[in-house]
Amino acid sequence: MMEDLSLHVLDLAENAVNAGATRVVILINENASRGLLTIRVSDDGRGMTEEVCRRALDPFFTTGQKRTGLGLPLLAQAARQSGGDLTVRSTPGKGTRVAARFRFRHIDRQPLTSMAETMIMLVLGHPEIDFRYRHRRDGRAFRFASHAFFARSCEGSAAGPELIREVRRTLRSGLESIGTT
Amino acid sequence: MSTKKLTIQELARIREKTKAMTVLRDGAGRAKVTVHMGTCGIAAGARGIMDALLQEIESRAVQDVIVTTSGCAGLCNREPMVTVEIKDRPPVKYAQLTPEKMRRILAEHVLEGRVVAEYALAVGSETMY
Ligand SMILES: Nc1ncnc2c1ncn2[C@@H]1O[C@H](COP(=O)(O)OP(=O)(O)OP(=O)(O)O)[C@@H](O)[C@H]1O
Ligand SMILES: [Mg+2]
Repeated sequence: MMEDLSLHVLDLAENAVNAGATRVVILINENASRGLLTIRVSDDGRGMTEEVCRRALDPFFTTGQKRTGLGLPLLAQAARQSGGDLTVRSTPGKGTRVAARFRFRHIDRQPLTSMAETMIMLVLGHPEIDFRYRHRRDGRAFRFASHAFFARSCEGSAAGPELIREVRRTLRSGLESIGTT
Repeated sequence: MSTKKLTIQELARIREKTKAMTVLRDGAGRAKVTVHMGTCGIAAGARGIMDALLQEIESRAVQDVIVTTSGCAGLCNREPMVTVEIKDRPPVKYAQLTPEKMRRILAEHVLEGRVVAEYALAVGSETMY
């Protein structure tokens, strides 16, 4: 159904957006030598009550009106099927942190296909939110902070073609520099 | 997480930029396209639809169209979906999109104001539910 971890990252970040976050921290760590891949998404959104947090991994549990409640259960399943796990920590009024771990070389571990595309959609779809992204890959790292980037980027129209091009170029070349996409 | 320290000038520019973006969001733009990015939308290919939309905006050098995302539109089996809003007109929802259909919607509806009826699901916000 959703066989790409970079799509799951987008999905987690959309949860944070829906929770009213103003800052979302996305950490990816691909550690082949330790055989581990971890994904962590933290936000400063409205958080969950203990009750909601306990049920958040149940399929079809949702507090949204039109949503399906499948995002977290699908990711939990993807983590488990690769010998990993998923944990959710949340404090009402403070924020939420979702962490997923995967066995790097497990045959059922989904690929991390395009973090560039995921980050481009988030940064350009929600310029009001400060996305802090850090991607480590076997000792190399790439960082991107959207609001700091906007401050340094071109003077052109805020949501126009120049900005799209610059965001795309920066994320693509940054991820290329650590050997991924 | 530590990022490079920002100067006061940079902070001021961030404020100006985010303000400019909010202005756009609040209605100064020609049109707004919302890509539905709930789990069902993402699983059905919504990220590729938004990518096609942004690429088209980039290559046609469109200046005043707002692109944003929201949750599920409530019709999971018709995803990927987008909602197009043109100033002072009712919103139009499009379903079962492909990048090709998205590019056509941008060209005909967003830029020229003609609804692409063959892909449209509903005119007005909630009529189909
Ligand atoms: N970052 C978050 N902050 C606050 N609440 C969250 C967060 N992530 C998930 N939740 C809560 O957990 C519920 C389940 O999340 P999940 O992603 O599985 O489903 P959903 O977002 O409601 O629907 P879907 O992902 O299928 O579009 C949400 O409805 C919400 O109440
Ligand atoms: Mg979700």
